[in-house]
Amino acid sequence: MADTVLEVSHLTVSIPMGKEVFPAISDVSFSVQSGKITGLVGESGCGKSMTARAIMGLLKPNCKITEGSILFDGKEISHASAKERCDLSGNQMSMIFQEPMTSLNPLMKVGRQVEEALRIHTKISAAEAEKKTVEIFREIGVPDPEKRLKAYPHELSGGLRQRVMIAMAMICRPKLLIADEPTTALDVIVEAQILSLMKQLCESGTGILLISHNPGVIAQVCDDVSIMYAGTIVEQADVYELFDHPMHPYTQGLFNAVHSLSEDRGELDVIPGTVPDITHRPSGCGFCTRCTQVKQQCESSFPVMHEPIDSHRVRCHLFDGKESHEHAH
Amino acid sequence: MKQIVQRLLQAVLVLFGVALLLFIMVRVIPGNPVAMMMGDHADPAAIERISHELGLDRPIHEQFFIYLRNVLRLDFGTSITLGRPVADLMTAAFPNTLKLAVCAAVFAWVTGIFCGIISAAYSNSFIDHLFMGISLLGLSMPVFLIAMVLQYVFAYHLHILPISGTDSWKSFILPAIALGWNCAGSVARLMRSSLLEVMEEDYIDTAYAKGRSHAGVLIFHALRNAFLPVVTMMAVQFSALISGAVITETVFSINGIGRLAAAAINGRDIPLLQGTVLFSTLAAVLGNLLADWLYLLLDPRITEAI
Repeated sequence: MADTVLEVSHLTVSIPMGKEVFPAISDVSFSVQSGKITGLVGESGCGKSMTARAIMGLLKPNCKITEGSILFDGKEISHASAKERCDLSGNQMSMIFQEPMTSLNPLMKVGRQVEEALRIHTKISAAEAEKKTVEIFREIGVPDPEKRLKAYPHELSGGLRQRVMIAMAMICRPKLLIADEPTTALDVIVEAQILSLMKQLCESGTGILLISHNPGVIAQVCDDVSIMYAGTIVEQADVYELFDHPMHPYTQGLFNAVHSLSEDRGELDVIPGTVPDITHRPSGCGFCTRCTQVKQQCESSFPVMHEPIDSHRVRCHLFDGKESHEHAH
Repeated sequence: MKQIVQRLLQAVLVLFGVALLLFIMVRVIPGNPVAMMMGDHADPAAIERISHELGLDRPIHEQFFIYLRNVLRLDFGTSITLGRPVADLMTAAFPNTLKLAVCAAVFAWVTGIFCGIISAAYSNSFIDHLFMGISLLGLSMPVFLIAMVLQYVFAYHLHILPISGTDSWKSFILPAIALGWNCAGSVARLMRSSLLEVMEEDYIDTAYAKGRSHAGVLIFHALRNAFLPVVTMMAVQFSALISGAVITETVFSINGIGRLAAAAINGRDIPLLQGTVLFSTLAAVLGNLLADWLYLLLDPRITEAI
């Protein structure tokens, strides 16, 4: 049984818009095990990045965690002080961002940026730090590491820059790595390389939270998957179960939209409509305006999480009263 | 290296252009400068004799080459109103202008950068609004007004600083503040906006994610990036300061390049005017070269771009 590195439960983050306060994400619960990759999938604007930022303590000052808890390695960190954050970030938990182009300081040599975390968190000599940086560059597949240390970010390709970001995040051997759309800005071949690198990293014991809008990416590397829609998690299961038996109408629509070529290429399956704006989310299920199987109560009452099959949770009124433990009786 | 040579050549070209323009303008101004110099009742024969002595009766291109040769030897001729070689006058005036410029720049940059950083770090707080209000006042108040208010308060009323002159280092305090006030205002505003912009960049999040504290992020990541535009502004400001502050030097009776320029214009003193204008051009060109060079030094991305 793997250790739980991160346990997020009932997390709600509120954001003020004008005079009112809206929940940007509500009742988000999931966990990340060490040595495993947990995927978080959803369309842009559904709250994936906000979730990641809340975990890392990088929320903008106006966003507030109003409910729920974030347990990191058994310790509550949802309202950690700046000092506690500094000790954790880059050391025990770290993050890589979507845009490798803009996520590196343009005026600093990449070697210095990678060893920075080491220098902050450990008392290590400059020579030793450089040695470790070369080591991690080699491990992560940066060709010619000694030379690359002295390069500026603009001298590297997008894929190399993302590798540098990964090196930076991994250099203190964190227990948790949050990867927010790490391959979205990269081309397909580099994407595959980066994904296999992530897999290799998690085998060394790090728990990874992989955020993506692309179910294909998730299917390739994740162990557990949470599907997010309009600020809440609508479905949750291990990757095989989820892709074999998607239950939530949104998940089904999402997977249908990702067409396989063997099928008929005629019409593209799209989910009609768009994600409701944060200020206009329905009081009931967030998906009710686009759902093909909408029922009366969907518009008025917010669905609770059901567990129709063990370890497969879905937040939908279609499964009201279909709990797995009830079947067991 | 290639870019540096290119920039130097450009600078030389600009200087040559200004020298040529000055030469042409002087010839285009109606009236014979010798006649003007000698007054209304001068003997025409004398005018002719002096014109010959000054070489003004030679062909125009010949005059230009003589003029150019003299400029290269830093020989700008003799001032008509003050009766002394322009080069000597300027050499005597330059130390005062330099002292004033350095004092004003130090005052402006230290206060400007400090206020800008504090304003950005505590943006939209009381202190931010206070600093930005003062800097707006600095930008919108004319120099002579600031100068006179300072003189009235600190020299006339409180008697703690000399009202004018260049007798001691204390004499430079008020003029430096008056002259630097404007620059301080623009530096503070640019520093603030630049820092606020940089703090929104993705690499700032990266730095926080690495475990840097607020102060660490500011010092190691934000400031250097935010400085880039400010440094350019500072280099240009310094070249403006050093080319002579006409108003400040006049109000505080400082014998500097700016006052010479004012005297040259008032007295239609063409050699003196040529000297001061060429000097200002040189300062501006060097200031821009300095800005380019500093940028090259601070921003590794520039090497290919220039």
